[in-house]
Amino acid sequence: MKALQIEHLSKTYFKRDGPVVSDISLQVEAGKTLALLGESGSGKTTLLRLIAGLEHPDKGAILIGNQVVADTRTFVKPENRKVGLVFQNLALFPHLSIFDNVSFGLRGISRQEKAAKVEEVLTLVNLCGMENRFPHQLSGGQQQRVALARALAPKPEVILLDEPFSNLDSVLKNQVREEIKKILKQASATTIFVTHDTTDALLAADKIALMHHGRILQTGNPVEIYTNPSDENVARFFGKINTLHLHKTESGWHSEAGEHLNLPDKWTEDQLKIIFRPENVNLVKQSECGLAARLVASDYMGDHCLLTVSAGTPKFQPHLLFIKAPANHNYRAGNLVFFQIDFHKAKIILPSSG
Amino acid sequence: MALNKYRASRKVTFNSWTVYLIVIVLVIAIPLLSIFFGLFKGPGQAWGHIQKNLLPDYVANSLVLVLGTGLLTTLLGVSTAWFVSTCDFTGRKFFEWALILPLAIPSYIIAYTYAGIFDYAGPVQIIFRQWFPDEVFAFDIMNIYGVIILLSFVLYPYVFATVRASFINQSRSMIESGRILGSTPWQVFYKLALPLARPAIFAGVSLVVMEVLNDYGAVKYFGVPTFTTGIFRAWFSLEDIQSAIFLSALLMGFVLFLLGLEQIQRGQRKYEQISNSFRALARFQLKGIKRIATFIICLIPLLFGFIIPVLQLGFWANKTFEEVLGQEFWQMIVNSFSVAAVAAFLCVLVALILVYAVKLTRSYFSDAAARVANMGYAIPGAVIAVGVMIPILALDRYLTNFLERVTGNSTGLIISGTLFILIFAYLVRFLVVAFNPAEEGFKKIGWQLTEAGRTLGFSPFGCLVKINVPLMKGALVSGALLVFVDILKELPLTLILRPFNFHTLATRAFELASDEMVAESANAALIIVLTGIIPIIILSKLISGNSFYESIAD
Repeated sequence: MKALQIEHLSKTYFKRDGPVVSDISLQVEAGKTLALLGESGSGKTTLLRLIAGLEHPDKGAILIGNQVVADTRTFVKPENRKVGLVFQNLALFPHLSIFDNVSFGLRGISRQEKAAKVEEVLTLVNLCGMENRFPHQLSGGQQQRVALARALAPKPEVILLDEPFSNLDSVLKNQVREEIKKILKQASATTIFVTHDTTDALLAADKIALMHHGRILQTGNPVEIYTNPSDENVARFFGKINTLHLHKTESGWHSEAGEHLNLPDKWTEDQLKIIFRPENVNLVKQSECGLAARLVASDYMGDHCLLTVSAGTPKFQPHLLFIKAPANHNYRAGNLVFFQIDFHKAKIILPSSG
Repeated sequence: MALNKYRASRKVTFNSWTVYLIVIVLVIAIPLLSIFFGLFKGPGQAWGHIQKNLLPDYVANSLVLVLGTGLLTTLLGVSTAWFVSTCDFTGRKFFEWALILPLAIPSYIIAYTYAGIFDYAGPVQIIFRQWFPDEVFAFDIMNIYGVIILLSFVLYPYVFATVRASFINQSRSMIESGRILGSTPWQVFYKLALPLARPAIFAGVSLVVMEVLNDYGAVKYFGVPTFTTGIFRAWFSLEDIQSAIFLSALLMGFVLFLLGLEQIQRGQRKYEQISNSFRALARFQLKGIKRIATFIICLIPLLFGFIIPVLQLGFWANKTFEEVLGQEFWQMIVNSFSVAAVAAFLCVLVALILVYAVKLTRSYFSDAAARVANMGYAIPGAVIAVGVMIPILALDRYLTNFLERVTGNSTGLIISGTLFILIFAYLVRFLVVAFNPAEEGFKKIGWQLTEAGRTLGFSPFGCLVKINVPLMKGALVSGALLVFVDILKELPLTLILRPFNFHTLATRAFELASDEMVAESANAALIIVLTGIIPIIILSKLISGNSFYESIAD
């Protein structure tokens, strides 16, 4: 079942700046987590606010659990949308206790029911016994969980999180991410969270929608979007990539990085542009028929080294490639290295135009 | 944060809050609109006489007053603000807040207090006669120069306060690098600090000018004809409403011109830096004669603007309180305090709704609406009074005619001359005094808490009551206090619009003083002054950066 559907949604604040959200369509299955991934200014937070009802869309429709909450004629106010929102800076009510914060959205029920519900959510977020404290008396991670508990308490159809991990330091971040993922799974809540961090998206989401300049470039599960990016921009967003232009000649395949390449038989075009990641390139010994390149730089990353090499045949300009290599201190700039590209993992972007 | 971009949009979303906004603005704009439309009826029969014989004086006197007080308050305010903010000398901490005290003394009170001091029976002439029995005392303060000096002594705190805030906020590193580069303190002052503080000086002086143009009591008492006295004269003596409207419109034009000048100045404010660190500036250490001179420079305005007049008032009050403090006096206090309290509450309520409506609708339209609603403070009280009276009189005439036709009896005027009119006029004039702290309070809370409340199922109104109001109690209370005291001091508006035989402390003090009973008037004056000290303490705390709102909210 679809918990949330967005159809051709557009929003412009100022005409001169162009649309912030532009013709976006999106669906989220009930109980699943979607990450809206993008740089700042890509429109992801605006999309979140449109779903919450804090902004009016110019065009398009939003359906929450099959009910239209916004289209050209309808606009359901945020207070009537059954949407939970966790703000980037949490927006806990500083004058209210944790109990009052969490019970804020629970109305029209008896005191006992309220208390029972608050206890239930606080148990879920592992904050039992904190009812009488005030937000400023809690740690950052605890505040985060209170904000989540407050949003979860009224049992919203969809729960929205705006940059949920951005205010945390890196150690706490891993911990909080795991906790929140677990809590959301336990509550089987349909979740959309906004992030600019690819790691957060890959680790915490069932599905990722990559946004750029108000549009969605690609939607897919983490494996899909990482290994099978729809274009170069998407691929680049998840880390360094290598590009090669290939073309078939009578003597075999040629590229900027070398000649006589051993390509998969299924590639039938004469001209290709491919992309592949540094980990799809392996260092080999000279005897294993690798391509040759000069080492330009090596960046020590702890568990591996990222090598920048200058490959190329006399016919072409030197062509830079990135190689993910085992951690080793013996890489010296200027050395000759040999490598093979795992073409089966490479992705064809377009038949190359030359 | 990036949230700013969600704030303003060209689009106006129509909901109930937009309606509140429009209604408030229209109601507040009634006096202005009635003066504007009143102009189309043409000038009254006395206009020729006014224009020929009186208007040149009004214009000349008002201009001289504005220029004179503007210059003198700049001199007093900037010098004291600089010494207090950047130098170290005996009594600096005391002067930091004490130099604002003269603000507690309304202009009409300082006027007749000094008139009394220099009077034949006053201390100055008594001492003079003892020392020089054979000479004639030839020092007259009852003229326009006297008004300029006296008004400056009670109004310079506006300049002092804004400029001091600017000096405090000026980048400390900028001042310090100036000194490291070899500038003397004097060079740091006129090359760096003064140019940076220019917008603040203009802001302070424009407040002074508003007060000067609003003043009725002081100029009337000293016999200096200005626009305000002219409006009174046209309305009451000449009974020519149309001429009063024309004078009001002219005065309004003058005020708007000055406001425009101030806006232009503000437009150049871009280069004013706000320092991030609130570490205190390393102060210039003054020694010897400079230390004493600085102390005296700071003492003079305080002495003449506050200490002497309060002592004199205390002396008079002590002499007369037994005969003055009676049933009538208590009634007057109850009148003043209850009207001020009701109007202050109303101002805060309307300000709260207005600020919230502006935030909710967040469009250029709502920003403009808020600006219109807050213009009252710039409009002299006499003008507002005229602007309120015209439509009310018209409405009353219509009502009495209607009732006479229906019932056959003449009922007399119904609305005019009621407290309702007076409180409405206070609302128009003092709304901004409550609006600014309320807006500041909203800024501190931020908008996200309200949005959080919305997504948790509360209507905008629910969020206001459950989230914003509890969090900005302090701001609302201080706003109410400021309005309360302003109303207590207010004279021209109250004089025109009060119900028949309704006396407030301000009107009574002025009437007694005008009737040569200065000593008797001191009792009421003293109460006004002492109550007026309360918001001054609030004000000084706000400037020195202590968060007053938080301290009062706990």
